[in-house]
Amino acid sequence: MNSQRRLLLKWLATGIGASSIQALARPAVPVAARSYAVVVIGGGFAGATFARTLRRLDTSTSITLVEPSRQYHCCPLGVEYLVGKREEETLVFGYEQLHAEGIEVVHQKARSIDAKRKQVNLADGSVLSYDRCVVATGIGYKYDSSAGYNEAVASRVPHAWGGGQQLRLLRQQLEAMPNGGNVLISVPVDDYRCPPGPYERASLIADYLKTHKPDSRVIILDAKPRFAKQAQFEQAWKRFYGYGSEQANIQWIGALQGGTVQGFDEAKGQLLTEGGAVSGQVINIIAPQRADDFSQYNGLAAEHGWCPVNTQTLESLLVPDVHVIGDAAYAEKLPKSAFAATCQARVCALAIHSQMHGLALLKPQYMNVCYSLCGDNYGISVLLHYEHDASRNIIEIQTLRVTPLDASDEDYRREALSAYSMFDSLVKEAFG
Amino acid sequence: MRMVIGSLLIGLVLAVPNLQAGGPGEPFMLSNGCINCHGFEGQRAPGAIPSLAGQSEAYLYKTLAAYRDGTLKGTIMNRAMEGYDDQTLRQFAKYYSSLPRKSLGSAVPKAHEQGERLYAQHCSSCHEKQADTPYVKGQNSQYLQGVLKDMATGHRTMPEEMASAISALKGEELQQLLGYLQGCAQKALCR
Ligand SMILES: Cc1cc2nc3c(=O)[nH]c(=O)nc-3n(C[C@H](O)[C@H](O)[C@H](O)COP(=O)(O)OP(=O)(O)OC[C@H]3O[C@@H](n4cnc5c(N)ncnc54)[C@H](O)[C@@H]3O)c2cc1C
Repeated sequence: MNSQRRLLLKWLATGIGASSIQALARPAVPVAARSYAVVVIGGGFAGATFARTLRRLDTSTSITLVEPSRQYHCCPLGVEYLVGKREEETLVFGYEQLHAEGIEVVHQKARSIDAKRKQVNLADGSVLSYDRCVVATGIGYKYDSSAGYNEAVASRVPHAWGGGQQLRLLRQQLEAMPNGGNVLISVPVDDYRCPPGPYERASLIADYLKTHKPDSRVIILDAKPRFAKQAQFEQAWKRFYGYGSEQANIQWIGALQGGTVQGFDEAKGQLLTEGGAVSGQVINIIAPQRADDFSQYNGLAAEHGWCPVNTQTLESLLVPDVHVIGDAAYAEKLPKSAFAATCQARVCALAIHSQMHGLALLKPQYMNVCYSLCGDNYGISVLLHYEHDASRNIIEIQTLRVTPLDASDEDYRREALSAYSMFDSLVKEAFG
Repeated sequence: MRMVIGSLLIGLVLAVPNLQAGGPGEPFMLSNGCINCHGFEGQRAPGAIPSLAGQSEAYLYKTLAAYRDGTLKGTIMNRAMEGYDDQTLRQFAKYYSSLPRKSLGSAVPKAHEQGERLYAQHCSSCHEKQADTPYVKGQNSQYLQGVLKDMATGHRTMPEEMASAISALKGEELQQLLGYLQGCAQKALCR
């Protein structure tokens, strides 16, 4: 090795210390005469990113965001909070920046849409008129999916598939579990939010058990015969958690091995699967999902539970002048991820901007990237390229590429760093 | 149509002046997926992922093409660039090079004066004047550390000029230099 390289390596070992860089304060946008009114319902990744993108494209549009919570509790990286590696505050974001950019944020629950009058009715009785309404209200749960399970049970036996209270509860249960206990995770069939999410969760729970409760095991009971990034996950599990061995801290039982959960016996602490009853001290039932209640009650969702949309503009195929973006939308074949939700948000903002100004619509572009953490300094990812097929209204998968199985330790480390780095930018784009 | 707007928005509105097909809106749509990591303005918070705004078109094109062709090995970038034709890569390069760089302040504090001197002496003639060379002032330090590590371990080619510039530096000078570059990312630390 030559001298420059040695010098560089030496310096890299020392480091230069992390910097904390203050976000640049952004000037407020003066409120000018407002012509076109857009009402956004739901201030998650999709709704917040949409509002900020449209604001950047159109400074003259009136944009109102309706969101009941003053703080958004996000899901990505929530798994690190679950296993005690992250403070909850780092997952919580407010709407101050949106407000500073001239987006009116109304902290109310939207009750209904009056499509004829083009009005949204809020919980406090107030009414908002719109030219366009964008619904970004996320997911709801099919609580009646298995015997012995319902919404009341879910308040004790958390799905923890949204941030906040549910995640806190699961963390408390994990911490309280004695060494030797089993953690059960029940995974539904598609479509559900964040396809690799259950396996990332299981990975970091296994990591937690290995250190804190070495005689314990996390058992994934899956209604699917295989899962996203399976080979990459299993490779990591073998490497770190003894996967496949007697002492493993992690086990996966797929649908073909009888893993499908059919019922729950709360008194006995058992999940009833096709292959028999499985006991657990901590039980995490990730309930099957559908679009949230608001879209169900306002005629936006189809029989399959999701909201069909025009994949070029994200306009609802069922209610005129209403767009649906994010997890609630049925925009085949995009997955339900924050990455895809924000891509939809920008396509929708560009489409509304173009329609408003009588411009030709652009061909929509979509991409999806999901990082998953499998342990300390070990991340894997999948990247999908899509091609919009207007004639079939489908966003067709062009390529799907996963972290190669022969990646180096440095690659896995960088993928983990990239997961954090992407989280920062997704959040910055959405909430400022 | 456009009203008086805050200064931050000016650059954006200039960057996205009209959205007709074939017009400048197209690269914005094209970069839809890129934005989630590299930011709407091509600038991002610190971290392993670089900011792209204001890098030279030649450098961006060269780098994106190298990721696509596999001559430069990254993690996800090889997969991200797969399948794009030259014309699209040129559109990306043109678009991101046209986005304004984060404005840097004008005062260099005492602590970074030596770093600034070293930068002017050893680096700026390439990094500020040569078209296909990256602009490194203010770039994310975690990202820069990754690039340097790749060069140090032979995973990325170190240009000869850079090798000779680095061999002219003592260990603590390299620290000062990189401290200065990182300092540039902070508000009002750098001219
Ligand atoms: C464990 C886990 C890990 C994940 N990890 C990743 C990851 O690493 N990367 C990634 O890309 N994605 C990840 N995701 C997925 C990501 O969280 C979702 O895809 C994303 O949140 C979808 O955004 P959304 O805006 O559509 O919905 P949400 O984020 O759920 O936002 C919906 C908003 O609508 C509001 N709302 C609901 N009803 C009403 C109403 N009636 N009136 C007004 N407002 C209402 C809600 O309060 C909420 O704020 C993960 C998800 C989980 C569960």
